[in-house]
Amino acid sequence: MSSFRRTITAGLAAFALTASLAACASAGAASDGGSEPVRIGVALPKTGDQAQYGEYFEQGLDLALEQLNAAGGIGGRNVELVLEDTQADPAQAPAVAQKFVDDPSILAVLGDFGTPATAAASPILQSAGLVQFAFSASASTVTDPGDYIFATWVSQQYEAPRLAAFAAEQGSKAAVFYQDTDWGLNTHGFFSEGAADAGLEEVYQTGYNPKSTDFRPLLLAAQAQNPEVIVLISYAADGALITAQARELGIEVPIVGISSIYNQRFIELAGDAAEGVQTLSYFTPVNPDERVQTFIKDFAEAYDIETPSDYAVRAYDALKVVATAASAAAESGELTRASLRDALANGSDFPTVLYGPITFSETRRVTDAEQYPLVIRDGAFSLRD
Amino acid sequence: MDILLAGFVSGSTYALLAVGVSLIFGVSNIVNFAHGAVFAVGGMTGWYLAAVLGWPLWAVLIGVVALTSLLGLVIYAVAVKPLRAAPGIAVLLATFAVGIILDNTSLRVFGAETQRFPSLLERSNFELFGFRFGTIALVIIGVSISCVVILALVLARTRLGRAIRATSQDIEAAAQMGIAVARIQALSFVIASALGGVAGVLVGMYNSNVSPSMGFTAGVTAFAAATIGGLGSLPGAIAGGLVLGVAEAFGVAVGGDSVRPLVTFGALILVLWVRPGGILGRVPTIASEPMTGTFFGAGRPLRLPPWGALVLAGAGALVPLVASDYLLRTGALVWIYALFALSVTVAGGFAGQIVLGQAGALAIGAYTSALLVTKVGWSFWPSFAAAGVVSAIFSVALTAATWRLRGHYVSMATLATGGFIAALALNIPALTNGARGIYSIPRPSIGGIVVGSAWGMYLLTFGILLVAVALVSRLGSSHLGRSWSAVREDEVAAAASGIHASAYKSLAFGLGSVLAGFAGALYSAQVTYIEPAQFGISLSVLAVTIVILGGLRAPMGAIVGAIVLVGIPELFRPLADWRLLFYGVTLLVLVLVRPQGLWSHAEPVARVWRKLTATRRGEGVKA
Repeated sequence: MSSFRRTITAGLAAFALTASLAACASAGAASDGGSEPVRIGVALPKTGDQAQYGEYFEQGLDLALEQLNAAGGIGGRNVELVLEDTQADPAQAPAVAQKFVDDPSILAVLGDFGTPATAAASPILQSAGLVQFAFSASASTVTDPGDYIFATWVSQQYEAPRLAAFAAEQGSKAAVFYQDTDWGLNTHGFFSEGAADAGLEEVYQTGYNPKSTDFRPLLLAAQAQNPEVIVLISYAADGALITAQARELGIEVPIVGISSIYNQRFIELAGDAAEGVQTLSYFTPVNPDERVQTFIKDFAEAYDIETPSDYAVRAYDALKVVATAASAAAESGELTRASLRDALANGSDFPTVLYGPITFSETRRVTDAEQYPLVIRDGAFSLRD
Repeated sequence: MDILLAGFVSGSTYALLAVGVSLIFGVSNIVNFAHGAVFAVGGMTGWYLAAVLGWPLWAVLIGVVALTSLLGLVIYAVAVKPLRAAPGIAVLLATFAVGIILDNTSLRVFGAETQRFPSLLERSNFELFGFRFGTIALVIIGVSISCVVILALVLARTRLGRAIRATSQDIEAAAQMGIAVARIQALSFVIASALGGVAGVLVGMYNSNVSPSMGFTAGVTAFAAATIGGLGSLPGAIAGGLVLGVAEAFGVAVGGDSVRPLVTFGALILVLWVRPGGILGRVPTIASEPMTGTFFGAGRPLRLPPWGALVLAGAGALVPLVASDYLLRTGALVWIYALFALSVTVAGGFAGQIVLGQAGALAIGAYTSALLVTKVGWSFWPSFAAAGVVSAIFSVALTAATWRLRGHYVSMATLATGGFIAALALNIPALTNGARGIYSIPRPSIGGIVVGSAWGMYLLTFGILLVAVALVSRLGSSHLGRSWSAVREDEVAAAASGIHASAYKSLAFGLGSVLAGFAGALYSAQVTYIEPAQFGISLSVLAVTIVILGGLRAPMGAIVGAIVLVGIPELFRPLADWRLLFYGVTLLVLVLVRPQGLWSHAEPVARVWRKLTATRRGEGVKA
C-alpha cells in the first residue's frame, strides 16, 4: 500500500473522528437543558399473539401519564414514554433493550410482558446500569440478574403454592398443564412444593408449547389418570384453548387457573366452556378500598370501560411508582439512571392501586399480598362466595 | 385407542392440506410455500364471515372458496407464471414471499389476536372407544377422502384429467401436443387453494380457535405429510397426513407437546433417507431438475478488482465513526447474517446444492458456543472454534444419506434436517435448557477486554466476515472450487470424469456448516439469548434468500443480500406492523426482477460496471 493512500486513510479517519466527537458534544449539551422531558422506555407487545396485553398496558400507562403531567411532571419536567414493540418475544427483547441503553435520554425501562421476554432483556439493562421495572413478570428469578431490576408481581414462590391449596379444595388428584417456558417451569416447581403441603397429588403433569393448537392427545393422556381437578399454569389464550378442548372431550372435572388467566379474553376464547373456571387474583373491581374505587372511576371516564384489566392497573402503578421515585431523586440531587435506582431501592411506601403502599424488599420485589378467589359466571369473572 | 382416533382426526386435517401441496407439485413440479398462508387466510375469512357477519356454514364455505381460489389464481399469475423459465428455487422463494405477504395482510385486516371460531358443526356429539368427537371430525375426514376420489375420477376419466396427467409427466411434450400448459397449471393452483381455504374453515372449527399466524406451521406440516406420502401422489398425501397425525398424537401423549416437531421432521428425514419417493410415490424418473445451466450462467458474478475490495472494506470499517450505536448493532447483525449466508454460497453457489436447513447449523454453532461459555466456563474464542467444528460434524453426519438425492429432494432433506436440529434443542432440556433457552450469554473478549460496545461488536463481526469472504473467494477459484463447478454444472459428466459427486457435495455442505457454526457463535454473543424457536425454517429460507438475491456465485452476494434483507427491514422496526409486509414485497419484487441476484452480470448494470472498472480489469480477481 502506498504511503499516499495511508495518508489519505489517516486523514479521513481523523476527520470522521472529529466530526463524531463534535456530534457527541452537541448531543450532550442538549440533554442538559432543564426543560427537556423525562423519557421512560416501555418494552411491550404491540403486535403478535400477546398484543392484547400491550393494549392493556397502554391504557394504564396513558392514564398515569396524563395525571402525572397534569400534576407538573417530574421535578417540573414533562414525562414522555417511548414505546417499543417486542411482541413479548425473548428473541426480540434484547435488541430493544440495547436500543434503550444506547439512547442516553432514556431514564428507565418499564416492562416487558411475561417473564421470558423480561428476563431476556435484564442482563443488558443491568450491565448498562439502566433500571428495568418489571411489572408483569412473576417468576421467582426475575430480579436475580442484579440490583437494577425491580419487580412488582408477587413472586410465584408465594402465588403458586397458594394455587395448589386452592386446587386442593376441588379434589385431591390434579392434572397440571404448564407452559413449557421459563415462567411455566418456575411456577410449576413452586406449585409442586405447595401441592405436597396441601395434600394434592399430581397424577399427571405436562409442559406444553403455548402456540400449540391441538391439546387433545395431552388431555386424553391426562384423562387416563382420572384427575379430580385440572390446573392451568397458562396465559389467557392457551388456557382457554385447553379448557374448550377438555370440555369437548367430555372431561367435566373442575378447572382452576393461575392469576394470569384473569382476562376477558379467556372467556371470549373458551366460550361456554369457561363457565365455572376458577382463579385467584390480586385485583378485583369490587374491592371497596378508596384507592381502587377512585382508579376505577378515573379509568371509566378515560376509556368508557367498566372493569379495567389487571394488567392496566399494573402498568398504571408501575409508571406512578417510577415517577414517585424519580421525583424524590430529582429533589435530592441530579436525576440520573443511578440516582433513580437508589431512590427506588431506598424509598418506602410507594402508592399503588393494586397493593396499597409498597416498599421493595432486599431482592427488589413486593412481598406477599392477598388474593381473591374468582369464578367465571355468566360470561364474567365474579367473586366466589 | 382414543389417542389413535385423535391422531386420525388431526391427521386428516394434515391430509386435507397435503392434498393441495401434492396436487400443485404433481402438475407444476413446484413446492408451494404459500399454501399454509392460503389456509390461514381461509380460516380467518371463515371466522369473519361466521362470527362477525353471522353467515351460515354453506355461505361461509362458498365465500371462502371464492376468495381462496382467486388467491390461488393470483399466486400463480404473480409468483409462478413469470418465473416459468427460472429454476424451482426461484419459484419456491417467490411463493414463500407471497406467503409472508398474505400472512401479514391478514394480520393487518383481522388483527393479530387468536379468535374463537363459532361451532357451526357439533364438536362433541359422538363417542367411540371413549373418544368424544363431533360431526366436524367426520366432515374433515369425509372432505379429504371425497376430494381425492373426485380428483382421481377427473384425472382418470376426463379430457381435462388427461391434460393434467400429461402436464405432470412431461411439460414440454404436453405443450407440443397442444395442451394449454399454463391454463392447466393455473387450474391446479385454483383447486389446491380452494381446498386450502376449506381446510382453514374446517380446522378452525375443529380447534375452535383461529389466528392469522397459524398458517406457517400448518404449511410445513402439510408439506412434510405430502412428502412422506409421496409428492405428487394424492392418495399418498392422505396416507402421509394420517401417518403423521397418528405418529404425532402418540408421540405427544407419551413424550409431551415438545415431541411434536421431533416426530414431524424425524419422520420426514427417515422417509427421504429410506424411500425418497414417499410411501405411495415413485422416485422421480427425471431426477435432474433445472437447477443448473442457464440460471447460473445468467448469474455470473461481477468481478471486484482488489482496489475496489480495499475501498469497500475501508468504508465498512470506518462506519463506526459516523453511525449511531443502534445502526452499529444492526450492522453487526447484518455481518453475522452475511457470514451465515456465506455457508449457502459454498454449498449452493459453488456445488449447486440448494440447502434449506442452514438454521440447524447456525443453531448448533450458537448452542455449542453458548453452552461452552456459560456452563463449562470457556472463553469465547475456543468456543468459537468449537462451534464451527461441532456444527460441521453434526451437519455432515445428519445429511450423510442425503447427497445421493438431487434437486428439490436435497432442499427438502436439508430442510428436514434443520427442523430436526431445532426440535432436538427443544427436547433435550438437560443440555440446552429446552424452550426456556439460554440467557445472559456473555459478549466476547479480546485480550481480557470485553467487546460489549456497539462499535466493538461491529468491527469484530466485520473483521471475521472479511476473513471468511477472502477465504471463500480463494476456495472458489481453487482446484476444489473447479471440482464443485463440475458437479454443479453436470453431475453425470462430473461422475464420468472421475469426480465422486456425493463426497464433493457433502464436503461443500460441511465447509458451509463451519461458517454457519462460526456465525452461530457470534449470533449468540450478539443477541445474548437463544432458544430453539429462533432457529426455525424461516431463518434457513432467509439464508438462501440472502444469497439468491445478492448473487449466488460470489461471496459479495451474501454481503449485498444481507444488507438488503436484514439491515433495511431492521431500520423499519418503528413501523412494526408493516415491517414484515415490506420484507415480503421486497423479496417478491427482487425474485421477479432479478432472479439471478443483485451482485451479478445483467445488462445494463454490467455495462456501467465495466466502464467503472475498465482500466483495471486485467488484474481483477473474483471477490
